[in-house]
Amino acid sequence: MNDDRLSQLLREGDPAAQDAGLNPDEIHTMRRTVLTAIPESRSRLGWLPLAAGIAGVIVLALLMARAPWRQPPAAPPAAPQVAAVITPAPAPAVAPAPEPAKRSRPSHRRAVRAPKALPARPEALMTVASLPEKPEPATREIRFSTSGGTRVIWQMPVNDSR
Amino acid sequence: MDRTRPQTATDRLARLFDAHHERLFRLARRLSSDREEARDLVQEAFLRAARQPSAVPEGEKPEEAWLVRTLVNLCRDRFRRLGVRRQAAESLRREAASHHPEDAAVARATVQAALARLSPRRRAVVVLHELEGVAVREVARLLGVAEVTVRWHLLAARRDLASLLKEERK
Repeated sequence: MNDDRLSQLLREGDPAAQDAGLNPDEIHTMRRTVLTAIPESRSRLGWLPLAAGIAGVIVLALLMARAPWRQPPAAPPAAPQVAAVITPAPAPAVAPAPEPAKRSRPSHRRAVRAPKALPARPEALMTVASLPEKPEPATREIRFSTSGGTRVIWQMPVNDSR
Repeated sequence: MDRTRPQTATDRLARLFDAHHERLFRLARRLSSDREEARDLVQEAFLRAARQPSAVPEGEKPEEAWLVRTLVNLCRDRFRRLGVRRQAAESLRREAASHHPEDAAVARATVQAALARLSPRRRAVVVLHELEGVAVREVARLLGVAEVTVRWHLLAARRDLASLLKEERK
């Protein structure tokens, strides 16, 4: 079968040869269907970016309002309280802490209990008291507690010549 | 104020429909197995244009080519989805034998059955060139392929159709 014969067969059997095409009713219906598809697609796509933008702004505003760096700054820490006590040599190494220092200590920092530990260890006092031939010079003791609750005790010999 | 853009898109789509629906239906009728399918294909092609107006290029020939390519792609999608190649051939053969005993109807059904067994792209090349008389260069432009591709499809389609028609007419 050559090309001419094939072309002739195809033209003889053309599916559209006997078809009159779309009738006016079909054209009208199809045209209306196609043209009404435009507003639907536009309205469907039109409100989505707007809604997404509004939702994004609201979420951003909420995040900014609840951000930790937006909270008011905390009150400045209280100045460390310092208590200077001059005690003689035979006195116990550590005196009871003054009341104001106790009050300033936070409740969650209870690890340091130096004043109460000394009465529970009498042998330590005995050792200090058993050295009468060499009296120790008077010491100057400085106690203070930091704002975080740490208690610091400094013991320094007092120079009599001063 | 906001009515200007939708009105313009509607006008453009209406003009597109009025200018090309006849030609597109004729092509769809030759590419599909029956009239209902052809009508659905044409409507779906215009609906794609309505949903994506920016995808349709400006100008009569570019927009015609866009519609033809869309129609061929729709045919290909339907072809793949339904697997209708052999089913269409069998149904057309049965229809011709039972309802249209005339020679013309038999010939038409035979050609449709043979065309239905080609792939949609190859079928489109054959229909455009052999039945609509479109030149190879124009077929290439409409389908968005190279001319050599069109010639290759024509060569292969003629070979396939010759054997298919010989087989169908036995």
